[in-house]
Amino acid sequence: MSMERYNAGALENLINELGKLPGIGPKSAQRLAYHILKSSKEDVSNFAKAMAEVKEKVRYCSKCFNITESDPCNVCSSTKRNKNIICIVEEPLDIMSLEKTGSFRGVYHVLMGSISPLDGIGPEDLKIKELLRRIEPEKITEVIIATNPDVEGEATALFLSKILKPLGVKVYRLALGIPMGASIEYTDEVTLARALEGKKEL
Amino acid sequence: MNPYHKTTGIIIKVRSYGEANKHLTVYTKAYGKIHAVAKGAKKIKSRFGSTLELFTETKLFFYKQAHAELYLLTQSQIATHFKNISKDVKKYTYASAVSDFINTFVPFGEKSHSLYELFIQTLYKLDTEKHEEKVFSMFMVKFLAQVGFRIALDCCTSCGSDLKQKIRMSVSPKHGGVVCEECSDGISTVEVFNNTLKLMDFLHRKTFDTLSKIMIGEQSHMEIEKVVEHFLEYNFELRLKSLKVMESVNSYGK
Repeated sequence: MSMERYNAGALENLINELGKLPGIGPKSAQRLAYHILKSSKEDVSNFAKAMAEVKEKVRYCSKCFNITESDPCNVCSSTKRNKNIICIVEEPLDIMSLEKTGSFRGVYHVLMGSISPLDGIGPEDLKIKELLRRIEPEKITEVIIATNPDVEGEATALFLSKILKPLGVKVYRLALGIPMGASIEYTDEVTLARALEGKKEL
Repeated sequence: MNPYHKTTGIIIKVRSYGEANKHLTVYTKAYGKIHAVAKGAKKIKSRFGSTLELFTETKLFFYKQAHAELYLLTQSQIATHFKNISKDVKKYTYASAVSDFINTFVPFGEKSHSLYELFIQTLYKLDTEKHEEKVFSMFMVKFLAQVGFRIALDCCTSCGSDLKQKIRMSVSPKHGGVVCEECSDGISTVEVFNNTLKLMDFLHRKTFDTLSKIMIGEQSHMEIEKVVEHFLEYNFELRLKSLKVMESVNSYGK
């Protein structure tokens, strides 16, 4: 005996599609779908347009793999930036955080992840070959590795420094230690040890 | 039932969960392999700090209602930190492979004191010893026995007949050990040197401390890996992801 359907097919479709989003369970999907149903026609068409546009217009920069609407991206095509210094990050969103600081005037390279054997991600799955291809033609003299300060990020940084150093590039790692506003009493021993290693003369 | 739990465990997998939470897979002393959530662990001022990094042995304090599936982490403190593992790519890939074995082939919620000891000892040896391959080979052989498979070497495991000791022998994951020439026809087997099988038997019986006194050739390492991988994948129908990555890290650019 088949179950009788009370819901409109279109609404059910929308619930299914929303349910595919990360962190959205069936109940949340229902709530969101109902909210969309109640919204004005204009709001909904703007929302749909924004979604279609993002897929159409936004792509990865062919040089640094940053998210961009123009290829090469604004950072790579800017004349004001020092093109001999590359900052290596794991994800495009990391660039946004670094740009907010306003302290970095070089260019970027996004790896699209970190070496993680537990997930089956090796160096071949990252944009390392593309990075190596940039070193000579762009006359890169300095590299700052800004991968995450976790075990995967550290291993990726070590791996990169091993292959970059023989190319005559100066390799730096982003400083690690106690965050601003934290207290030493509550800092764990591993973080504190890293802070001591990276001590700085005043 | 008391919803508060306290145990020590090794972090084997870390995932982002929601905005700032971490979803962990931990192999614990008291509850075996479990999933746990650390709320706000990704925030810069999180009280968990680096206590939830991969391969760290951590003292954990949980909250879990009787019928809830997830353990909610309330406090954590580092018990053992393997600092060389995070400073050496080779050690990192071996430690990842060891964690992959536990993550893939050990069922949730089954505690085993001996498996915990094997895991922590392997990490300790990987952290402190130079010959990671030897430590990994011994781990694989001992792990196979821990999950219920010890390769039978005495006679053909298919027909029971006496085995002729040849240079190359066929091992059948289906039968759980060495098979004779007649029985190996038409079934999936792994061909290895007889010496590799003897070495596996030796590694099974000895402790990690004996490793400094023996030499293991590259061929034997590869064969041990092949036999163990086949045995586990045949019997569990699950695949390890880390071994291929380990190979590509070692051979990158060569």
